[in-house]
Amino acid sequence: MNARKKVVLMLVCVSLLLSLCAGCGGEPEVLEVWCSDGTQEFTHRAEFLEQQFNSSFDIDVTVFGQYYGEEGDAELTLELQNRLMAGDGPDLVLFQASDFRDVRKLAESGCFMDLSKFAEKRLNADDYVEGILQDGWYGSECWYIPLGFAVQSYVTVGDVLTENGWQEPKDFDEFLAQIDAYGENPNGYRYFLRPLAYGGQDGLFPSLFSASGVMLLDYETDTVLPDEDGLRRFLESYRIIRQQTETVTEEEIARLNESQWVGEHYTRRDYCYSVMDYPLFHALNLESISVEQDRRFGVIPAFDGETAGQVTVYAAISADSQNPEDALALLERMLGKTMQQAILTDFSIAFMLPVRKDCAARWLEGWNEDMEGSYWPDSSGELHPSQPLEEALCESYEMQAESAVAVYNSPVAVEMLWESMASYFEGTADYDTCLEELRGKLTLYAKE
Amino acid sequence: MKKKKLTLRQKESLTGFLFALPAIVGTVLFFLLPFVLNFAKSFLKGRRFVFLDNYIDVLGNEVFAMSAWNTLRFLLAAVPLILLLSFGAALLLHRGMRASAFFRTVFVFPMVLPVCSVILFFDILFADAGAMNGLFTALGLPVVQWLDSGWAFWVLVLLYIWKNIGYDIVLFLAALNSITKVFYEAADIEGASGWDKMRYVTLPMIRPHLVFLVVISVVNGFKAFREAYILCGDYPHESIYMLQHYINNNFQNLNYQKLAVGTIVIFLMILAMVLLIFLGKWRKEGGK
Repeated sequence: MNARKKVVLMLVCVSLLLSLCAGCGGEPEVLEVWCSDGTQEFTHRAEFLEQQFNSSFDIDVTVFGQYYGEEGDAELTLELQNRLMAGDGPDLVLFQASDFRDVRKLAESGCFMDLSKFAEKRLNADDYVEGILQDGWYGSECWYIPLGFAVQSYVTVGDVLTENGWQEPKDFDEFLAQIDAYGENPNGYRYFLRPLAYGGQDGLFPSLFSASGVMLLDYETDTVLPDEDGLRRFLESYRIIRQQTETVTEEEIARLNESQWVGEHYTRRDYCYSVMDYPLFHALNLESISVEQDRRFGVIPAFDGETAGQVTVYAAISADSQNPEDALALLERMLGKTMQQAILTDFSIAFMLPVRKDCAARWLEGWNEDMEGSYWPDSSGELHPSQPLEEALCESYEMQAESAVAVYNSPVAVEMLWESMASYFEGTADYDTCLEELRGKLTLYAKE
Repeated sequence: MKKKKLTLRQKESLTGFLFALPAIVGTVLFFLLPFVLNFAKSFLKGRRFVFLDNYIDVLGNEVFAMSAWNTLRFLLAAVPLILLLSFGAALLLHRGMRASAFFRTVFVFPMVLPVCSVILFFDILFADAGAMNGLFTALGLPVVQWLDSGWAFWVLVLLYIWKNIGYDIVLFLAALNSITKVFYEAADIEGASGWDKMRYVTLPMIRPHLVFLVVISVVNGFKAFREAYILCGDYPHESIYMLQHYINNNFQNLNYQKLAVGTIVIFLMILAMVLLIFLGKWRKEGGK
């Protein structure tokens, strides 16, 4: 080889070496947190998260998400699904139960990391609502850590209960019986079922069904309709309640739509129960029953008398994460007291209760401080001073919520239930025929 | 050094290749490459190599087995039926029956209708509160759950035949028209009966078209999932729960392993059927 060629070859080798070294210098590491709630508050939450974590970590934490306006975050969810399938998932994924068809089946896909060691080491029953944490376990593996959950709550007025000789319901049967009886009240208006449609189902069908604690599938054993008796009792009662509600007058519908929540009607004690599909802590309802009335609120008990909880936000670590240790450290931070308390105030992916115990108490203290000196108008415009929440009520509510046990019914299964039972609710088909149709669909769904 | 010139044949080959190149690139990028990647994915769980675990899992799944049987059953019922009916209709039209032009239009019309319009029509006919049950009620007969019972299978077969019969009739007509009359005249001279002419003249002459139609009908049979899905959703009655339902539902659950295995199985099923058809043709032609 002549000298000229040797020089050229040497220059090429040096250039390649330099390029390689430049590549190895590396870009700054980034821990990507996916927050799937594309709402207006997202920017605030993203900044809060980044501010909370960047000071503690050596690497940058970037929180990804976008506000999609009124069209919702369907595109964002699709992007997440595509990335998970492509093996390019974010390090830490915070998603809502409604983002995927079935989070239990998602566990089989292998796109998330097994967190069983982390869960066994870091999460104990004394600090966390154990019944809710169980929802992340699938057999002997832990795929998700629930960060927050919801329980179905009711608001009512003590006088209503007293007049009818009732106590606050101890189980779902009692709850349904009281509602059914109150619906026959010729002097009062019909109650809680919002006449507005919700995803094709009746206004509060999914919420009431969640409260009942009935499961459509046992994912451990692939058993379909493990609680057939409970399902029958729920559907038979719901059919009666629904038929009663169909006699709601136009005037009532207009008033309901105007008020959006039935809280203001408590001044006239027209309604038995207002059922809310998220936790109690909503200003409008609390303010509107803040006059001199014996207000009561609590958790709707399930058929077995326990509290059925629905996980609203799951945390999972992508199986392809390049920074699993940092993601786990970040997750541990999110399960700490500071972040769990912040969930109710600054960082609310959805209305939810924190999975860590005793965090709700701090929020209640803050709420009562805010209430002091504030006023609210009733339907006639008259102002009333807001009342702080009674401690006994809050303690009772907190205790009920913290004993919640997770009940998971996928959106697909609940939709199957609704579609199969539509003819039964309308009175055009008998229950057993509809149940067999539901059983067939759920069997395919469970075993595929 | 002299540059080697391309011969005329080489130039023509190169030109032909260049014209075909976009199609080749598209086929490789959108069919072959995804297929190979999918095949590779069927041996993985996430990024972990699990060899045949996914296949064992899927092939041992009772719902998968049921969907495979439903798909096969549908093909065994629908394909012979559509071939018989379309051949019969083509024969009648070929013989110049009355108003053959009108009937030709009637048979071909469903082909040009959008699929969703066809489904809507069948939904109106066979829904629980549909026209058929309305007729049954008027006649004092019990109502039938056409789409939520075993009848769903036959509704789907009817839908498949109704939608695709026009296409088969057109091809059969073309095949019948391609047979020269000389053969039939010779058969008449020999004293052949109608059945003899069918057996010794018509069927052998249209064999290549018949093979093609069988293959196309099998492929279209697999596509009947589209109609079943639009009519009955993700989870129809178990009699029409097909392989593609299984694959589609696992896709929506992000279970890529089961999806990959399912598609490989469908590929092997279609390949086996097509090979069987061509093997039969090859044997008929004396191994040539």
